[in-house]
Amino acid sequence: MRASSGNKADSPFRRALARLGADPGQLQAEELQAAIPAAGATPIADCPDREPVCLVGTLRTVTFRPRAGVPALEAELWDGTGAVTVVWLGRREIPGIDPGRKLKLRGRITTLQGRRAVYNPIYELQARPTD
Amino acid sequence: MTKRVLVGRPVHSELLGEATLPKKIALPVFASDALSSVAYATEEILLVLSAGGLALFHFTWYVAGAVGLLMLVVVASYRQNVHAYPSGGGDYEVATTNLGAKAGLTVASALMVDYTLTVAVSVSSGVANLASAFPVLNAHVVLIAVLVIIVITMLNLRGVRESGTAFAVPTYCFIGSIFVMITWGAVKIMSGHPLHAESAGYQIKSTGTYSGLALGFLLLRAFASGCTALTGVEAISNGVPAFKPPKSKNAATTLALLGGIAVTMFAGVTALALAGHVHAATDASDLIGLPAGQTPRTVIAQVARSVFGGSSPMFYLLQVVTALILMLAANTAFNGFPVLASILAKDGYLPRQLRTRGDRLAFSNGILLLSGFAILLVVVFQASPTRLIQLYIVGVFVSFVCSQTGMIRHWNRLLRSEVDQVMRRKMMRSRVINAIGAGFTAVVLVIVLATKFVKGAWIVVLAMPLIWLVMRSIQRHYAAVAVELTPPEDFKITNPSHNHAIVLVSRLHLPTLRAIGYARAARPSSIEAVTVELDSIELAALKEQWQAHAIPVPLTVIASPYREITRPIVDYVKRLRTENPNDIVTVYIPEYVLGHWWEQVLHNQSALRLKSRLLFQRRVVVASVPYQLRSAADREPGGLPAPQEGARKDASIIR
Repeated sequence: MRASSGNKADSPFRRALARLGADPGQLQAEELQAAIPAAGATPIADCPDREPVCLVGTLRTVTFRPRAGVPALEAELWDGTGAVTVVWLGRREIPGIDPGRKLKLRGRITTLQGRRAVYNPIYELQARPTD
Repeated sequence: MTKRVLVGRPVHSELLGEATLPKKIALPVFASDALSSVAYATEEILLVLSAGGLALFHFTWYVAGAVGLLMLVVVASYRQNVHAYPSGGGDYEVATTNLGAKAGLTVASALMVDYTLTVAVSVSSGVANLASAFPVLNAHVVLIAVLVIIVITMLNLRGVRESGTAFAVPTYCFIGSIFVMITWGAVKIMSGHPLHAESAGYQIKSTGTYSGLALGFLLLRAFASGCTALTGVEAISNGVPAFKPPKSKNAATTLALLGGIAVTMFAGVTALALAGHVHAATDASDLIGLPAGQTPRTVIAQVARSVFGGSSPMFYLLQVVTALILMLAANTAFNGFPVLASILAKDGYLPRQLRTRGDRLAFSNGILLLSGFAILLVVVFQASPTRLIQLYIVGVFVSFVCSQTGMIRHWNRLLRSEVDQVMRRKMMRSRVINAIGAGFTAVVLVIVLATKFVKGAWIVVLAMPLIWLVMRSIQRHYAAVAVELTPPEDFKITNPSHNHAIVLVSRLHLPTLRAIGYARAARPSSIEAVTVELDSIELAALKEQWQAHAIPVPLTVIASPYREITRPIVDYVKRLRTENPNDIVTVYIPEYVLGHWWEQVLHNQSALRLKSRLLFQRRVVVASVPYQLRSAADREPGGLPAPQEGARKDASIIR
């Protein structure tokens, strides 16, 4: 996804045309990718396993566990290059961890059952334009 | 409910059995189409000849003679068909087995066009004859014709199987009254009372003088119009299975009878028309002497008036019976077309819906299709038999030629392996008859096409290949789908290894709870409820209820930065699918079921859209979990009790 948006649209005209044709998801992906270097973070697609990383992106989904069972809050962070499951153990809810929220986090990234995951990261909620 | 009143209660399939008919009943059942053409064949010849003025009317004899001869040839040829193909497949079967599928399809498209025209022409002509007896009707012929077609359609949807007596009475009445008329007319002439038709005094404005080639062409056109007398001859060859055994022999005898009666009647009516100096013209304004604004009576009506007198009961009887038999002729098309359509649908040339019998064991969809096109034709051509006849019989002759050519091939094939000398001689004789038939009908087809093309036959010439192409592409499509759907020989059913269940949630209400319960009962490998965040306050309320009801399923909230519903869910489902081709995702959608469509419009709209999008995703199954609201439950009186909602006690707290 990143490669296609980075190299293909070289001329401004082409870029404008590509923006017109692209769906909202595509545009959002490009915006998120652009924000990665500014925050000093690593694109998720480039993250090596079992390394401490810094990621920045938006929460695509947030899953609330049922009352019975182990408390944990799960969310999917997406930065335009890939997605990672973020898990906070022992918490059912964290104020500010809502779907659509922009987030910067630091933690150790792994691969669990074919999915990338980060457990109990240090996180910073990014300000919303309206805040 | 409306359908029940109009169509009647469904009939059990067991009652389908074919009733076999004795010859005396079979003749009227199958012959009404062929015999009814007597009512207009003479008129059409006169109308064409009128273009050259009164001077050409003496040619009527030759034209009528040629038509009569052709009729005998065709009947003789079809007697061979009846013996060789007693299964009732008709021309379509003969052409398909001997000339291949493409020829069969040609015959089929030709016949479909002609069945439709049979309805349009017969009904229009029937109405014209009624209007001749009751001139007040002249102003409303189109409306009446459409109504008649609708009534015939209804009767056929109710399933009037070819119930013998209903056909026999009007047909025999028609034959009887025509013969009475011919005899009476002949007696009158012999006893020195010349016939005098009401139009005998009218002069005809001729549209030109015809001589040489032009005259020949006009005569050929008159002949082509007269050939309408031949339609319906093939009906018997389609109906052989309905005859009492020995089926083929009885059918052949009936065919011969039909030919004899039709030719005699045709000749008789033509003779009387000439003796009474009936004058007719395509355009009523060409008739000099006709009171302005008046529609001339049909030729058969004029003959009847000249023979019996203008207000005699026999005249009215004859007109009514003529109208009746013409409607019966339309009805034979209603028997033939749906059967043909169902055979074609069985072979994959037409949509499957045409194959099945409806509630009353009639091929309902085929009947409706035929009636729709016939009404269209009647309206477009203003129920004018003369204009409709220009399109007619092209199809009949295409199918005649194909089936007779097919029969020649049939005998050739049989002769190759037959050693018995007696049988060989019989077959050779049959082959000669069919060859003559093929030659004659081919020549007539060319004449019909050449003389009628500009007058309207081009519509048919255009329509037939179009139907042909459509049927072929339908068949290709069905064949391609069938190939794609056929499991390979070594195919074994593999169960999905993982089934990830998703229940769509908009709010926590009874339908949602039922869907969650149902999804859990299906024991998926994993389960979650999914909602789209559209409003943070609503989402907070939902989360609270989720906690309060202790729903044992995790709730995933999807962010929707552009306030959409469908796309985020579809994207989410796509992401859930794993690389393993044996995994599936099942999406459970709670759906309200309401009693009325106008209530339905207010609900489920996003669910419907979502469902249609998800159907295109591979390895995704969409399950609708219905929740019948009270208004829908009323629709099923005495139905099963509603499922017990475990959460009902708590649910009353919600909202």
